[in-house]
Amino acid sequence: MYATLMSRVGLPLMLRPTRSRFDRHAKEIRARQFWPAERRRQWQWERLQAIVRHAATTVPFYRERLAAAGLRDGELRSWDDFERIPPTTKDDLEANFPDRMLSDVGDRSDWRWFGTRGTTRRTIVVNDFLKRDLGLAGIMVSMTEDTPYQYGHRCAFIPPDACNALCGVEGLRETSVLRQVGRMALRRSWSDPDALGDLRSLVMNNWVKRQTLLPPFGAEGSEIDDERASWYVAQLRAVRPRLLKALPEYLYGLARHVERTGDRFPPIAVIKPMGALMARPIKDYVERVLGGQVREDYGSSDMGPMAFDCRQRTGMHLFEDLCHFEVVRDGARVADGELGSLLVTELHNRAMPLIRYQIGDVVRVERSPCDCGRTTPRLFTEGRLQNALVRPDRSVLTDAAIGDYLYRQPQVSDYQLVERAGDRFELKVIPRNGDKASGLLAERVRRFIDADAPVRLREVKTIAPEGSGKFCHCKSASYAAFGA
Amino acid sequence: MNVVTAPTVTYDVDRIRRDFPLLVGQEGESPTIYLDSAATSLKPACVIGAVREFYEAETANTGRGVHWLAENVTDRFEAARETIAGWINAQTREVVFVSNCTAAIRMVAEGREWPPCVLVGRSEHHSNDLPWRVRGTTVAVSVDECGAIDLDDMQRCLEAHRPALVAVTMISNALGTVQPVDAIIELAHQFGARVLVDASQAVAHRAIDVEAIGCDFLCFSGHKMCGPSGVGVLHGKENCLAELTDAGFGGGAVEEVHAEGFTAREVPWRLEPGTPNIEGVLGLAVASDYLDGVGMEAIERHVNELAADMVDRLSRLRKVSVHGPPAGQDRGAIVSFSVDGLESHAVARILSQRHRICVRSGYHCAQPLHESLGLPPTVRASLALYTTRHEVDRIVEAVEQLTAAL
Repeated sequence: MYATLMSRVGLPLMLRPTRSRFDRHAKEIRARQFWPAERRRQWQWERLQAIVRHAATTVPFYRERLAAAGLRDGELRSWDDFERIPPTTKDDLEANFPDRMLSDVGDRSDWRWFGTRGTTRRTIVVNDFLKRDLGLAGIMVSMTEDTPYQYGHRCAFIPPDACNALCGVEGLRETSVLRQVGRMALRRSWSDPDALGDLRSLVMNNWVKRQTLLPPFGAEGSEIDDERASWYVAQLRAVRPRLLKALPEYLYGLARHVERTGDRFPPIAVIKPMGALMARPIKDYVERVLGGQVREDYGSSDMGPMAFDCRQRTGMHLFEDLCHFEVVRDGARVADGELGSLLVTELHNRAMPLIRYQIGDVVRVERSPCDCGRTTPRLFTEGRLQNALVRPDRSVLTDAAIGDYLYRQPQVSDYQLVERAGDRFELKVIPRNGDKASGLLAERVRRFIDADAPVRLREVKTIAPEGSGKFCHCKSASYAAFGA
Repeated sequence: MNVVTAPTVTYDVDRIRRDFPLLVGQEGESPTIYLDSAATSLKPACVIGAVREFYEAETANTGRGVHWLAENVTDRFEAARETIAGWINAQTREVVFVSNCTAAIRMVAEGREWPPCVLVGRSEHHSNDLPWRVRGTTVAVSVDECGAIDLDDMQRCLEAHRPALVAVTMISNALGTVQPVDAIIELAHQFGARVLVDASQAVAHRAIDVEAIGCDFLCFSGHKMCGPSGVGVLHGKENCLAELTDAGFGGGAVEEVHAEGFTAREVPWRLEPGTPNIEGVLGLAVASDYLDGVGMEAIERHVNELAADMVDRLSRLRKVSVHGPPAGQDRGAIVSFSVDGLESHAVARILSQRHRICVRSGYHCAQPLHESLGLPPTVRASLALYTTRHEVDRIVEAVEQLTAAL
């Protein structure tokens, strides 16, 4: 009842006095998913031309880069013109931010800085109002499309540690809408855009999404004891969310706890992994033990929401009206379904355009029709580029492929594969059910990864999180040979 | 009337920079600008050479063997103690080599039973706060808005709590505030309290004279004064060191050991059990010689001028707040500031990535100070004898450019 009222009445009413039209944008995004592919491609091309022209004429970094690529005025005449532009890397971003990455024109008071919580780097991006509003629309579609969860239902999040750490830009200080209103009244900051932005976020999180934030598991890593796991389960029982979004390792940890102890897990319709890839065997296991349907979406702090899955769950539909996507290897576009590095061009952000931005993920994209009727290409993520093993013959073992293999091994509860110099590998294993991991496993893994030297096997009690709070299951020393 | 003044010696920072390998060959397009010397200082070639020399040609243990290498290194180790003692105007036997300043403070905190109350400044680094906190009652003396210890509050605390010891920093590592150490010691001694001074942020920029200061303990780390990491100094008056009866003991710290008892060596050796960081101590002595050669007064004058200039110019920038003592007031070689709307880590990362400027960001291990003053985590630029005016220009320009983008 609350959800229906919130979606149909509350949200439009709340948005009316503001500039935000994200509910309408969301409707349009939904509709464009069903447009004929050619019509959407034309729509996208016009926006791509406009953003490249804008970047070439107002952003110092792109002014030089496009001129060097022979596109002095930024006028794109063909897709080949566009593909001549060298990818923008995180190194480019870091070396030129902020003065050379921001547009010379536009109302800066309307821009907002966002710190990312990247796996390896923490960059900052600056978004204008339209980009932010479209981002909210994309999130709304990602969370509510084709699922039993709608805005107004309760949801719970268990983000990684890094979300609670300093990530760049000063953010929300209050946790309650009323306290924020009180704070603004006390400081008479009704017209302060930052305070208003904070208020809007609080209203969205607390009243619209009805979001409960639970603390991260912490430094002890992937394994938490049953007492702590019970606490999380009890919290979820109390909140009764319809959607739970958490780091894959957290979901896996909770599922193992529930299976081990028989703790009563509340019925949660939708379970979403966040922040990292969830290996296929873990998805199946989480669904079996926790009972909900695992649904995925894809996005990043720097680019915003980029894809979501439909009920067919055969890949994630790309938001082609928000971004342009390319999959490349060795500088060239790969064929449909082939593995490559993802390049993303954001179509709407005039504050800080990012063109052919190398996001650092290894993916495949399928353009064959989906049974759901949507015509957008579908994305299959295979993990971070830096987690991919590139073998001497340049074949690639992605995080997804390694996880798919190792999580199916009966002795492995969790693992971390570390590639060291000289083609040496170490496999850290948390044995399943307290069994001993045998040398046989090491030999099987050696053959799977096609290594010459024996794989050194080490039993560990936990896999420690990285500095970002996320977990790395494959530390590759060879990923640079991928040819992103 | 003829006024005779001492000849002005020009401070040749370019010549000094040539002594620091990390700074040599930095004339490229975007050289590294190191403004994080309060975290650790760069090392001159002579210090690096001393450490290397020990490994390459002098390796032996100290205070044990009778072969020529052992005797040589024992002599050099004790000569280093002599050098450091001279450098801070202490008696040789008042110098204990430890692993760092934190270890020195812990040695004092754990070396004897202290009566329940210890007074610490609110501005202390965590390492001059937590070792006391975990051992019993501590009372924090409040600070003013610049981070300087409030002497009136200190007097009240002394009267009310009659502490056995007062532990204060000489210069705040977070804000650069120079504490009124002379007045603190005088006041504390009036109430019979011992005083420990953490000189970590002063030792590389100001001449330290423990005799003149009159403290009971003083400590510092080697790596902040151009010396190697893993070595530091605890200075204590001999009777004060002797009272640390729970500290030390072990190999090299005893005269003889029998089944039924043992005879400890005297201080400072009793407080240096086990094999010390020999190469670190040798390098530390070379570092103190090096600083002495440049001249501590000249270094102090140089960094003070640059810090004052940086404070003045950063204070004028839009959206920038400089914390600690205002322009014109004495401060250490530390300038802390914040940029409205940006977290300190974001500022530090942008300065590093865009301009190759290395600064520290966060609470600088002085979170209670930040909280008591209502300060956010800050960006800290810290200077040293090798910092140039051009580097000050670069950080001011970089921060200005950053705030222009906001």
